[in-house]
Amino acid sequence: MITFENVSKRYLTKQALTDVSISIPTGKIIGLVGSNGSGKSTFMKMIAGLVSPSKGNVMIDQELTSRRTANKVAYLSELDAYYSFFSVKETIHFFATQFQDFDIEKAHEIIDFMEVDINQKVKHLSKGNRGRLKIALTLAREVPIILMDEPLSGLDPMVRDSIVKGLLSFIDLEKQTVIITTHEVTEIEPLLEMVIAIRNGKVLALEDVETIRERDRMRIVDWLKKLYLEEA
Amino acid sequence: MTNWSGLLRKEFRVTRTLLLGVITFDLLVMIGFYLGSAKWEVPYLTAIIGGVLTGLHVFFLPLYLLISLNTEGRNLHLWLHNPQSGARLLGAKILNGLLALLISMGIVSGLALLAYNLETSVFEFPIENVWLFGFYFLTVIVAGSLYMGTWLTFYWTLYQVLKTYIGRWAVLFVLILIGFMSWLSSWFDGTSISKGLSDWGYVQLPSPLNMEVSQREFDLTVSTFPFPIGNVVFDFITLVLIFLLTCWLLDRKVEV
Amino acid sequence: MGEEFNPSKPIYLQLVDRISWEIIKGERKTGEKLPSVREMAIQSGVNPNTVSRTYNELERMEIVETKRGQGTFVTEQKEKLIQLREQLKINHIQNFIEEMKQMGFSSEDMIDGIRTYVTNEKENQS
Repeated sequence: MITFENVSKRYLTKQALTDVSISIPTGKIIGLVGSNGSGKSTFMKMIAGLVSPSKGNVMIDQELTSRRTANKVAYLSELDAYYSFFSVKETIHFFATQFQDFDIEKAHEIIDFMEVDINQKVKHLSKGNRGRLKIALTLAREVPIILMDEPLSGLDPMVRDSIVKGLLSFIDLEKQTVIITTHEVTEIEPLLEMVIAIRNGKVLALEDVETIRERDRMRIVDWLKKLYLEEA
Repeated sequence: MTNWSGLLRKEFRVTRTLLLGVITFDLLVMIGFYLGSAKWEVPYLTAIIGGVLTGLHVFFLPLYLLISLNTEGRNLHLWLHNPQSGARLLGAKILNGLLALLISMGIVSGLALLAYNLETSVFEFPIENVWLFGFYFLTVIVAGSLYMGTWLTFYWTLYQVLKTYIGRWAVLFVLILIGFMSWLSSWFDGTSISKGLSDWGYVQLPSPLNMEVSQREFDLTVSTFPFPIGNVVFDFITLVLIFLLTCWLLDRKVEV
Repeated sequence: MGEEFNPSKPIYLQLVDRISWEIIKGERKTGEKLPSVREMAIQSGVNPNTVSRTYNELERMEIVETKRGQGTFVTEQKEKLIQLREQLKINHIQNFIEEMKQMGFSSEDMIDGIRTYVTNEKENQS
């Protein structure tokens, strides 16, 4: 289980997170939603141990996160995540050497499923195929926590569709927890079991998506707007 | 061990083009001067150029590491989102850099030695034992390169830490720190503490230089010079500490 | 991508409705095996846990049966399906009547309307 205890993060010119306390349940696909600059990426990087809190603790199973938390977390950055001189195949093999939990057959299976040419150089891949490769590298790990920062952004509907299908085909919610940030919330709404709403570095709510539908009779986007209005 | 060899292979690929470029440059310079020296008739020209080029290799590792680290710096999360220790991440780079250094330096110094032996001029070089001279020279170059490379890695990592908090000012801060540290170390060298720490353990090492004039009457076949082992031990310990500090910064303080 | 869902109703209930509907229309036969949770999740682009919840609900309604290690099957008890069909009929009528009431029609208006509509349709067909 992922726990934030009174976590704040200050940079020189801005406060990225303010006194965040939250426990994130396991075995679910959870959406992290909020406007640009609300602290979503910082939140994700803290779980991955790539950013450390100015105050408070971020823990996974009672253990403080650090860079080497990478053995429990697969973090998909919104930025590029591969060495351009590698081919797809070499990239997969490199990842397999670095992560003990990396299932190389599964990676090949996902790459096949997404119809990416395994012998192409990464730098020659289209944007859509680079997005697919990133997903494959993340989902091929048998890792308890998967973090995906904007996995769909800037990709056309076909690619987004194959990514969503890939996600559903290759995660195992009995063993894995997935946290996704995205601007296309409505598109992946049926995928999400819970959402965390975040605004100006503060976590506003952690809620069951079905509850939002049943109680508030709203889409996540509208629910988020309502929360933002209440907060403002 | 697979993750270590995976890292090494990746590092090799990161700088493969660079290494090929350097080797090409080495060959062009050496062969070019060799061909030219036939016309210019300067004694030992190719060997001397080779020696200078070998000497320049003292800057090889720091430059190599700077290029390699900056490649990672563009995609820091890719490099750092990895369960391997910082010592491994950095160690793989340093080891690869050393290997590249040895390859390039081996080519240049080998060709220089070859040119030296092919020399036809009557003028004699004041070196008695070329092999020993070469060995000392190369050891000093490699050690110096490793020393500078390790410090560069430290400053680069420190820059990455500071960048998160003070942005572009980090460059200025690190440059000032480098200046301050070099002042500090030259001041420290003059102190008695420094003498106590590093000026000990003298051994006599065989000298490769031709000293027959001064030592003829003592009938010495091998001349020697005194060398303080303490110096090496002190520098080595400093380097290890700096490396460990860098690893700690990388593992705990660098943010993406 | 998965089909559209009504934002004001839990997805698991919408899936329950959809599967019930498919069974009543005969698209899913009695005794037929339903897709596994994962397959269904992929087909409909829905969270696997939501699909599990759907299957649990269908099982509670006794429309499907889970056989250990084999999967989930549409029930072979015909009377359950007849019940389901009746239930769906009542639900639809309820919705219809509620909306008509909101528009201000009386029960007589509705019955008249339905009778006229059905008569017209028969004439058109013949």
